[in-house]
Amino acid sequence: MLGRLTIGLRFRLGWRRKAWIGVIAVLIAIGGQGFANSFAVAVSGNIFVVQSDGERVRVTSSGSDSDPDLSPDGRKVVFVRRFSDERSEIWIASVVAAAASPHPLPNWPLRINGRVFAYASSPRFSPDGGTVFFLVPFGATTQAIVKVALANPDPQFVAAALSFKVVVAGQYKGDLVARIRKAKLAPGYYEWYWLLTPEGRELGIVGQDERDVALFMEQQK
Amino acid sequence: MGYYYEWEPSATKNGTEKFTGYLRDAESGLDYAVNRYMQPGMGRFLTADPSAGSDPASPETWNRYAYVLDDPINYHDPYGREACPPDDPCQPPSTFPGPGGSPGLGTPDPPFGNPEPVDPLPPICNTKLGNNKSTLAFVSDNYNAALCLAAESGVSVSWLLGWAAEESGYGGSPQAGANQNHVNESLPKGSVTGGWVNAVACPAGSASGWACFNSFYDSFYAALYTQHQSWSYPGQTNPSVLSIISAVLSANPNATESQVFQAVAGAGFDAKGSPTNAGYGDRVQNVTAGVIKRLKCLGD
Repeated sequence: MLGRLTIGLRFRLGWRRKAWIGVIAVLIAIGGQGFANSFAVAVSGNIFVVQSDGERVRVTSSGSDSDPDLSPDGRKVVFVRRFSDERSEIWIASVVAAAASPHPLPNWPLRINGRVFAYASSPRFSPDGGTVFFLVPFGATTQAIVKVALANPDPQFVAAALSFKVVVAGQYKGDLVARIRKAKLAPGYYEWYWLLTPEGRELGIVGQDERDVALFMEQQK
Repeated sequence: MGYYYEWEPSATKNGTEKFTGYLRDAESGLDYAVNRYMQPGMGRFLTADPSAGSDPASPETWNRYAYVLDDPINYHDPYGREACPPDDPCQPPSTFPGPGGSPGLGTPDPPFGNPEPVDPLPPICNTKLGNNKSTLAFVSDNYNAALCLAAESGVSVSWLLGWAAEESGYGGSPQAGANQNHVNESLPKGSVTGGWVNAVACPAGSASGWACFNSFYDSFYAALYTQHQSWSYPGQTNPSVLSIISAVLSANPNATESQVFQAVAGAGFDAKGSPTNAGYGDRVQNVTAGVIKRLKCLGD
């Protein structure tokens, strides 16, 4: 039955529509922190915002954009603009069509404490919309969370981490859950999830894997 | 069970005579008899008594792992071979009878009656102990690749294997298994290779966040030779691990491995600000010491 349904969709829907259905299904499944029920998506390298009434607003048309995040007030989108396998930047754009003028968020390449970074990924707004967090490659074995305030786009180092999520509600609203690599007493490393303040101070261990993080986030709602 | 006069139920310092004059091995925590190892706290040998035959009339002799017939008050066993009364110094292994009870003359039959006390492999070589089997396999499996890289780069085999053992936990990390990534080369989201030389697109089932390679050699080659724009080392533009090692040793030929790899970390491999940067060189050097012992197990 499932096979027949899949075949039917394949014959009856064009690839663009199938892509939209897939994107919407995924976003409904994982939820979002955007304004009301609005959310941002990347389709074929372009950023769109789907409003709560179903209207789609095209935000970019470069064909090189991905991983968008809609601000809590629904007025801005941050995303990754990719230039090569070793160069990508964090950009921001207004959702208000007339004001849509995508531009890099900080100046690139990024310079922090004398170091230069040409690659960034995973931009996420803080719950108040005033700060954007993202990752840069930090040495060979880990990445680092960097934050940029919209009012003062000087990038600041937060903590070394392999990935992170922003806590958007509850007691720890505004804090981060970060996967951090630490050395074992024996040879080798482990990568647990830690709760961090936006300044990078460790508050405690959230857990050892994604399931622990999902449970923690659920408890914050 | 009562404690014998020199009995200590836990491991102590290396070289200290313990339990009937056995030497204690710091690495394994085991007491060493000439022919067998004994585990403190158990009162049992880890290998069977090579000279023991069972006497049907004496149930204690049925268990070839027990110490001196389970009677350490009245017997001792300095060679790990047989129970001897306190006033009997016991015969050393060279005069133990050979198979079938014949005197041990001429060339003895192993494992009985070596004319000199045997020098058994240390416990670290015993694949039945701890995780020795997997750590020895890591060293053995990757030795040839490390040898090639050593010839190309000038960095010693033991340093290369020690570094990989530290990074991958002797090959036990998920990325070492699924991605053939033995030196923890990270892969930023959205990137295919992360800029690592010889990296390939990760197949399904790979550990996320880590670059993928086709072999240990490729992973290690990438770790040594990839140049990094965001790293910083005095006098170098886009340094690589190899260029940093060369620079440190050129400036100080007597630099320790710890100093060399701390410099590698500080330049960007395990960057300052990372929780793993502090003590990085010491960790690599310590693990290399373990790798060298394991290389000796394999006859290197």
